[in-house]
Amino acid sequence: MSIQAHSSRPAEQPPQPQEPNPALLIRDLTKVYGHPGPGARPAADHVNLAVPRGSFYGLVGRNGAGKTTTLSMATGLLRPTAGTVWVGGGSRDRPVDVWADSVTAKQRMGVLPDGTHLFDRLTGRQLVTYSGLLRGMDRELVKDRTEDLIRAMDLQEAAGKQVQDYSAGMTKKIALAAAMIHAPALLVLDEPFESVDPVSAANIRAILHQYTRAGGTVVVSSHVMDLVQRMCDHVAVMDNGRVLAQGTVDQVRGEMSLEDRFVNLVGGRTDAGEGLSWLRPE
Amino acid sequence: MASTRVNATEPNAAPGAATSEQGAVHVAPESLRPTGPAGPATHARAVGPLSEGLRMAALKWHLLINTLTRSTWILVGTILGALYMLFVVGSFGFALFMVGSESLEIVRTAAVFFGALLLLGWWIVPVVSSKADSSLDPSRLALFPLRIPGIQIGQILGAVIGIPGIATLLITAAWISTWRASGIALLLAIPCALLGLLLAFVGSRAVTALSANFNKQRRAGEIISIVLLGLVVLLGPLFALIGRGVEQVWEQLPTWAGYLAWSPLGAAWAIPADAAQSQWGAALGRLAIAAATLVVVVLVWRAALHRALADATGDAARSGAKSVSGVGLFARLPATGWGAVMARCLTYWVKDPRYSATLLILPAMAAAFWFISQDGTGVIWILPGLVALLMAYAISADVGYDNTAFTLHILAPVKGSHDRLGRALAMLCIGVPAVILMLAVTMVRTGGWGYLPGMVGICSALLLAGTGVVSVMSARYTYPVPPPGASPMKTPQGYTVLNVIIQFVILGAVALMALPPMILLIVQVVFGQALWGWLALAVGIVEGLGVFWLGIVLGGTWLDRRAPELLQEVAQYR
Repeated sequence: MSIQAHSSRPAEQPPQPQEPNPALLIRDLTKVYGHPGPGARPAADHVNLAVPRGSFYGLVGRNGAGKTTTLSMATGLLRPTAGTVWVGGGSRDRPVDVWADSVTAKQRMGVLPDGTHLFDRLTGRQLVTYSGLLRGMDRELVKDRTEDLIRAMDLQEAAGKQVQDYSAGMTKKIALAAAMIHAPALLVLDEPFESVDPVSAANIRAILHQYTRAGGTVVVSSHVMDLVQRMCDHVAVMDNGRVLAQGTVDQVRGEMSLEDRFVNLVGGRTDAGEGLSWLRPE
Repeated sequence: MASTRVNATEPNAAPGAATSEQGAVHVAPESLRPTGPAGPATHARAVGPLSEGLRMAALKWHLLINTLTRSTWILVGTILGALYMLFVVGSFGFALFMVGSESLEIVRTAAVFFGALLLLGWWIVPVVSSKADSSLDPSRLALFPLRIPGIQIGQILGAVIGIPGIATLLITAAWISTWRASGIALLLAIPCALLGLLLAFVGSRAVTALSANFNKQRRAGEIISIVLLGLVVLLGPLFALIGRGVEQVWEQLPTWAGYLAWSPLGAAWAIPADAAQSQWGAALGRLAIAAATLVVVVLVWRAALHRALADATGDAARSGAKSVSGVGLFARLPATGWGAVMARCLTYWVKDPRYSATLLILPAMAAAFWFISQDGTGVIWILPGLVALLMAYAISADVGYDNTAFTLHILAPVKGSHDRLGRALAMLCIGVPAVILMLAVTMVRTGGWGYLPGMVGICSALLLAGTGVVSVMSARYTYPVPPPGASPMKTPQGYTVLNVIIQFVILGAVALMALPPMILLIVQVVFGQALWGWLALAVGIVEGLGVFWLGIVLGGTWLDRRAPELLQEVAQYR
């Protein structure tokens, strides 16, 4: 499928998935960098994911497994080579193709990308306000919600300082606030707990759990299996751009812990670490 | 610590070790048993400072090769840079060689001035341009068990490895050849040149180490960069003044060289002249001065290195940031997409040094042109147009400056035309007053008020139509710029010839917009009728507004279509 055709194609009907009206549906999503051909290894290879509404969905895999690539394509940041992504929206909304009707789709999603700069010359309050105003929200509504978010994230003293002076935890929190200000139906968070201190992490987790209890869906990507096992009720395991397993956490991990199951699926070297007999104090 | 013998080949398993295959009693192989003090040392050992220095120099060499050959484009750029350097070195070298056949006084003057300039260059340029070679930064070496003399030798050797170092060596060889008239001067020139070179390299490293401590505070770095940028721009009129007075200055030069020859900057470079005139007392005196300077600089460097190594955490600066309440411009501008973008861009024009550096150049430029056109050459006439061109060009890298923060615009999503309009309006908030000011300055300087309408037409065309052109082109083409938080003078990585071409095309396209009103203004100048001036004004304004609107709409469409690809491009600027 050429890229030209991809962006101007009219919205198709989504196929009937197992999940009735999923929050996020990814079908055959593929990304090949460079010239597509027999030699190129895809960063994402025919990824199929169905995220149930109201679930806390974990996407796990090693570094370079294709999690960020998949999520970037699903949120409109990276153009796919092939495949489609549908966003469900509210309980009465029809699913919408992200790349065909990007405006509606993006209104339903709140995204926290990984490793991107923020507009860090703005203060925290200004950043969240900017995010709200960009989405065309009413000024008073933005003001009220900004204050609510700042209070909920425990950023009252920091909200008036420039974001470049924030610690890693504060930066993640303010970015999350900017992603949530329009009350989306789906939150897509790429490595939300990386370099975040435990207190901030607990704060974020509490907010996210309250959100899912109220009917929202959260997709979280991480390479820390423990975290995912504790927090998520559904999980998908990715490696080398492919989805190796998906389902509820109990379905995927079976009898083992999620970490063991992952190592089992991925087939890593367990004898790595030998051969360093000189590694001891003199 | 006494150096111990190192076993080049470690036996994998001692003969007495039992392996699991044999199934015999497991005895820990010899390699696993703790070794006594007399055992073979297989771990790190201490080496002498010279050896440490040589290893660091080898490291610098590897880093240099890897950086310069990263990709074909960069290699081409490197070769071109090397050729340019050879050309510059060749010209200087040739000039120095020619000087060698003049009288001793001229040789001495030239040698002293040139040597002092070389020293100044090595001491000041790395700090000013923040191109200071950081590959052997103390903060990167802090975790290794290196001692300070080793680091010092390593950094001196490292200074030689690299294009500036090689260029300096070549030029110094030419400097030595200047003394060929007198045999003894030539002989002494070699150690004197070495002394001078040592002063240059050591001084350079010392100043860099000192400024590294100062640069830890974020605001300090930004302030220094901007102030120095302003000074650099002001060098233009300074040279113009000097050039005018060079006639009177020419006779003074030997006297000044005499003063310079007794200062730390020039002492080492004048010793061969004393030898040629057999003034051994003066020669010894100068040698003492140069040697003392070297000792002082080395000690200062040691102290700075001590401090840098002890505080090498590279933490974010401890800033006494004050807290502001309210959201500033976001509350005052319209609550629309373009209003929000405009508010954010205006905030950045003031707060981000990469933008505010452009603002600070403007008064410097005005002052420069004011001085240059003192003899009524009328060069100041291009000032308003130049400023308009610069302001329009300034937003051509706007998305590049946003870097990956641009994801917020894609995620919101912001309509392409709103993005373009917001950025353009933010620039115009500053650009229009700036151009008006420059027009006022020009009019006051030259008194040519009759040409004001025409000039306003040209500036409108440049500013408005230029913005339209830039809004379209920057939606499709970008070039590397310093990433967020970096100094505005840092050259970004990954500059290719294509990027240079893009910049020239953008500049050219903007300048082309001024053509219609400029033709009309020239007609006014030639025929002297004011009507043509007013026509130029009308044409300029209509053209400006028309191309502006067209550019915003077309640029917006392109941006909508191409935003993810643009994001991938700017994400690479580091």
